[in-house]
Amino acid sequence: MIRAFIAGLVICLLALSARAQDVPAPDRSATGGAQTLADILARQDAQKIDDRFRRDNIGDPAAGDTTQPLGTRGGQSDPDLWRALRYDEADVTTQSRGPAGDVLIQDGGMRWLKFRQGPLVTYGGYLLLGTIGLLGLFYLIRGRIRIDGEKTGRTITRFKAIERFAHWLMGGSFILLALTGLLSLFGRKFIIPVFGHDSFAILAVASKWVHNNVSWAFMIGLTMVFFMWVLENIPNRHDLKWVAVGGGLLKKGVHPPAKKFNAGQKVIFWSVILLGSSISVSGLSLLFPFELPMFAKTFAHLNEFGLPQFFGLGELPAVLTPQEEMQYAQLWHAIVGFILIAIIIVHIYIGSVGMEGAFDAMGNGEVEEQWAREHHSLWVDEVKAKQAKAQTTAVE
Amino acid sequence: MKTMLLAFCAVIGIAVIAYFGLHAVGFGAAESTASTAVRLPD
Ligand code: HEM
Repeated sequence: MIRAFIAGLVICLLALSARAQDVPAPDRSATGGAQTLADILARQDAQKIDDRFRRDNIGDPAAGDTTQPLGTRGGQSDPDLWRALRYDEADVTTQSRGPAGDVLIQDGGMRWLKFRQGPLVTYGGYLLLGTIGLLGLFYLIRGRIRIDGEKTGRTITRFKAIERFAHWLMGGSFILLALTGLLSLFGRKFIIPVFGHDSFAILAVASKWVHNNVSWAFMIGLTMVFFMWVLENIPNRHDLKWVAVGGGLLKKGVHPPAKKFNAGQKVIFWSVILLGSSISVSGLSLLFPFELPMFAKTFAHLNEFGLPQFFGLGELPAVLTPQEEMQYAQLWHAIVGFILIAIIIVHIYIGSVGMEGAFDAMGNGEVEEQWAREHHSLWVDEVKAKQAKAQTTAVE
Repeated sequence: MKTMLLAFCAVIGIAVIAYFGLHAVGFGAAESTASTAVRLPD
């Protein structure tokens, strides 16, 4: 499920960023098979070139013995060697023990950097600002969603202490992670120009510390929340009705029935679980550099599936250098992070200022009975039935 | 509300434990990619 979701998102992302076009292979007879001016111009124009004529042209060390004209390297000339290094095909041995130590040249860095500083910052920023703007607009039009009926003065226990603990472990850490993550991404563009390099350096080091270490609290909270609430978040037929009337959020006095969690909350729950896990996994991949590469394999599976080809993207690269794995992990981590932050902004709004009586559920765990009747009528019935049963058994 | 504050304290507590734990296993890019023949900046 998570894989399929990741796959879908990767495809959408690539579809958006793909500007390269396929061009027919030029005639290279004039250069004896080497690059032509057309190749160079096409590359400068950011067009996609089939580079196999260079990638595969790396000589053959096994061919010809070392006394032949090509000299000590056997059937491999210097240009062959450079091409082999350039395309990470050379058999390199180094003293450095790191997994990336024997990649002497990799060319994904500029593309990654440009994407990170360009579209990622721009669209990510607009996504968050747009979400906040829409919520502001919603507040102006709809105002705070009030408890419509007469308050009863009685309360029902909605969440036990352990549930609230897990929610706030996850919520508190997520907010810290979101803020420090955004700071590391936007700092260079927005903070350095205003406060200078020195102040940002301190902020960046602190952000990094918080981001790296607080992530564990988020993962623990996420796991707890999953196990505690998963059963109540399985979709059921009431959800269709709930969605059909927009959850009653848009109009006063409309209250579709719902059990413990309504369809809107289920969307929040599953977004948090699926996107949160994906962010966790890509985050771990970033935290332990080169230890958990996962993109080449995912791309290979997607290629087998035919998904990228279906979208006209051709095959995704199924062989990646360790550095490129890290580049993809960073972009994925940030993109999914932006999406979840936007969703959580909506959640925080509706759980606090947006709806009267909602915060208590996570504050002290007790909600006003009338609130519960309006938003979770079937759940109230269940709770009442259980209480009545407990009472009769107690009397007996 | 008490539970909420407790959870926020736990966030900090877990972070501090993670910090020392991660250093014990040598997780950083510098540490995990260097051989013993390489001197790291102190
Ligand atoms: C200041 C921040 C937050 C506030 C005020 C808040 C408030 C709430 C409230 C009141 C509920 C219970 C709703 C009910 O009674 O049915 C809830 C549930 C939940 N919260 Fe939060 N929350 C916050 C942050 C977060 C964060 C950061 C996450 C995840 C990263 C999160 C994930 C959830 C989930 C999955 C649920 C259960 C599903 C749902 O009710 O939508 N919350 N939150």
